Amino acid sequence: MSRSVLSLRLPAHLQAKLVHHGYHTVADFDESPLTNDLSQLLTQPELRCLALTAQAQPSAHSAWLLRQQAQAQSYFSTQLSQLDALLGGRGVPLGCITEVFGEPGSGQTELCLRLCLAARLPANLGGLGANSVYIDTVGSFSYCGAARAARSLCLQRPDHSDGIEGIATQATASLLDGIHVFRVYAAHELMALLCSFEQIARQTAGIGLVVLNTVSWPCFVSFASNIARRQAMHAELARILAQIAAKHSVAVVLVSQAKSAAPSRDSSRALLPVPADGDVWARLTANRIALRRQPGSDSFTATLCASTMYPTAETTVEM
Amino acid sequence: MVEVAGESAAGKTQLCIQLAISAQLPEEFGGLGGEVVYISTEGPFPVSRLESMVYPFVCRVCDEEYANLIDPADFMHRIHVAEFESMETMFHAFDYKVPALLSTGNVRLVIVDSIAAHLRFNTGDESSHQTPMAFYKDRSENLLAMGGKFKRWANDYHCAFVFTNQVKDIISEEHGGSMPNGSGTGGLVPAPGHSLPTLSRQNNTVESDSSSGLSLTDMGTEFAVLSMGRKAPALGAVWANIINTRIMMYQRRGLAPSEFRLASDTQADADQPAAEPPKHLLLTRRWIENAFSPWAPRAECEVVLDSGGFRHISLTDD
Repeated sequence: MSRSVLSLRLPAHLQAKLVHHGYHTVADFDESPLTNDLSQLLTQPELRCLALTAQAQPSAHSAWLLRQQAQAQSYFSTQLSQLDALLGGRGVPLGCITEVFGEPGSGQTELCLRLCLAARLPANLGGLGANSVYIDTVGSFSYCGAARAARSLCLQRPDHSDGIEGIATQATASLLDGIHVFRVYAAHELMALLCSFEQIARQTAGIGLVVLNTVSWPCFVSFASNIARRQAMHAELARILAQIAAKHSVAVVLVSQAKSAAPSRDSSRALLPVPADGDVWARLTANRIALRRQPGSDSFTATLCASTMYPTAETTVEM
Repeated sequence: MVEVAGESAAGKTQLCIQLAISAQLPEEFGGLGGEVVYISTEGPFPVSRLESMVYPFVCRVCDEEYANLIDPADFMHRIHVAEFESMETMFHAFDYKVPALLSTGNVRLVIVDSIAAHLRFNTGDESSHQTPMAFYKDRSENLLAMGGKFKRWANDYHCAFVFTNQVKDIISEEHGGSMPNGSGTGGLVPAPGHSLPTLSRQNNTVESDSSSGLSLTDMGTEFAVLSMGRKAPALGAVWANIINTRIMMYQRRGLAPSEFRLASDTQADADQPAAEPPKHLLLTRRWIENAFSPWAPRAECEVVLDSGGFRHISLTDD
């Protein structure tokens, strides 16, 4: 199975040209009669670009170098102390993907809004002072919800809003200003949006957080019956999101849909929700948090069920 | 996308009629000043109830002069009602009729009362030749396709969607003994001769998605607090992931609300400790609860149903 030309890091027009002339996979380049054709088909700069890609080898770095890079990685506080404690005491990490999953009504949208606002806070308060890209696939983003979340955040941080009505309302407005909402409906729209992230990053400088609420819905709606295609879509989305996270040093927070687990005989043990997409994202994310609402109250149980960085733990979060 | 769920006769249709009137009111009274599409699947649309509710409702919500100006016939003109007896005609309408109505640009509210009626496993129906698994698979595909369409329309045509849902009994573990792994089905009561779908614990199948539904955990305990029995909204996890907001309506027989009870407390004096409350004070009380919503906190309130629809009598936060 040779690697497809379309997955190489080449400019789009060059890829289109190569595919048009019959080079679909990397294996197609090995046959010598074709190489003469190549020098006729492509211009000099294009040939150079292709040569560079061909020569690029993955290199091995020392673990020390990786550690140095990891030290430089930043975090931003979620402004919810229990949730920060769950994430190593620091908060949501930049440069990798954090997944949040829970049943409907378990506070995912609320958490997304809080994270966008938290990222917007200045650095001395634990934020990034950065804009957020909020990709809404389910239609749960509303101005009222965001304003409410901003108000409760300001109440939580009286020193930021100075407790004075005028400044408090101004702070709310500037917090909400930093959330850039994109509404997509289907899987292909989501892909197109993510592929054009470079453009978005250029237009909206200083992005610190990308929220995708939810990643399951467009895949369900576009491939309702084809599970294999859905899984492939998730894998592709994961690849693109990981690229975005690493390249732009942004935190990527994904929300997945989940259903409650079928109850076992031992019903005294509270069960974690089961992600609707299965374990696809389990392999591809750095942190996975399960959210459950505690019945009859406004607090939630957040469980860090898998992480490459921190030990698994559980905590109660008040939002 | 808002769902209103509750037992039958909990008042879901009454609430929908009230919403249909409210949506037509001008914005200063909390309305949207638009028309309404009302899709009815459970029996004939109660026109007489609508007619009798308009004037009292408007009087309660709006000021005098507006209430005197209105003509109930206007309100009825602006509600487009369609009644469907089966799933095929309902889907056909969603494909053609409803978008046509929405594209006029005047519709601000679409009510589907109820979405569950034709989608539940009807034993003794012509569709019973399907295996349960195929039925659920079909259903979840239909729900996903519809959900996708509705969400797009809600944005494109700038309207709200309200769905009414039924509730189902949650069968506890002890009764679900026929299941292979002993887990409760959280599902429908089968007729003799039909077997329940087996719940697979595999995570990545859409079949188990729709068949497991909401099970015994959180939803069950929430309801046990206030509802008569253990019930959960029908249509399962697939539908629960499509809606954004869920409103539950329940009712139970209980003591009259506090203001009435005070009068009886002075009567029934200390010589009768904690006796059975007098029968005339036991009445059917109703609650409406916001189970989850992305823009409002969880809350519930007690309501009373009168000629002008529901009105709340107390507001308590959970």
